[in-house]
Amino acid sequence: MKEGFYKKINEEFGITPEQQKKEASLEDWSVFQNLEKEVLISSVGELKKQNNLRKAFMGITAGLLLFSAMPAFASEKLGDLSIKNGESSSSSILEKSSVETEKKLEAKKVSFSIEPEAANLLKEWGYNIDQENLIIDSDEGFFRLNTSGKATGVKIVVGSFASSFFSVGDNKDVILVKSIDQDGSTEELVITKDLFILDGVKHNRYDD
Amino acid sequence: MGLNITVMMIKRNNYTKNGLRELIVASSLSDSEKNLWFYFIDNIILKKEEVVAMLKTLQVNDNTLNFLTKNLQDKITAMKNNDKLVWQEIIQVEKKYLESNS
Repeated sequence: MKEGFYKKINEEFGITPEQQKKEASLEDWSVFQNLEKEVLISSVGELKKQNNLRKAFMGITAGLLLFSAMPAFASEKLGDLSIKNGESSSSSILEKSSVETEKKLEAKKVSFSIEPEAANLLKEWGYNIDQENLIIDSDEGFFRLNTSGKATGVKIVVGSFASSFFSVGDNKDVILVKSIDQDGSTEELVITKDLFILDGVKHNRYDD
Repeated sequence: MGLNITVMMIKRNNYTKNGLRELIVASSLSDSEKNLWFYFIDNIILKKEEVVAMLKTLQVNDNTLNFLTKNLQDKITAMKNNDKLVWQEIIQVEKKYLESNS
């Protein structure tokens, strides 16, 4: 653990670095963390140890470790997280979450279609389409399309827009992203070259 | 406006805890799974680089979010019970996932 990390905790929670070091140096926790670090680095290699996925795994561990070790959030606080988690047994959690994950992945299969004209227009405007993961990506940001409820798919088309509600400036072409369900299509997202309209709110694509 | 599709836009530079929260909100996780993440995000100190890594990883697809959610759940339980055997199992699962996604 770096000094700066402890300093940050100290500032936020009023805990002395000495207290924090004492708690965080518990042997069991160190074993947990070091074992994970060694295995993952040996897996991806030294050159790829900056791999984001590895960092995410280690970040979760470091966060939980500090959370459990902080006097202000004593170890029983992990029990609070377990309650949030809705679980009580380590064996059942592994089994249950595995089944739930499989069900979720199964349930998320949706159809996706995009008109060639819409694909060309989005490409011209600097968007990439990740059909498998339902992501419309650009340098400024990305849209994730999550279907739920009755929706069985996503359809992207070139369309017109009622400018009486929103001014779209010089943008005459618009892209409509529609959900598909048993009751018909519903337009949810409008994209033009410089802006997008989400949930009835207009956003400039280039604003921070 | 119907509610059958959720769309979210995440700005490239929104690599903050709030960005992480937005991503969880727009995800297909269950309410209890989302609450677990919110509790984690709100109560646990993460380094900036860890938040960035999580966001970049989670942007890839929902499978990764589901995997990290399970990872978070399992680690909480293992740590709470001081269960090194479960911990080793978690790490082996992480290793496999990492290798298949590198």
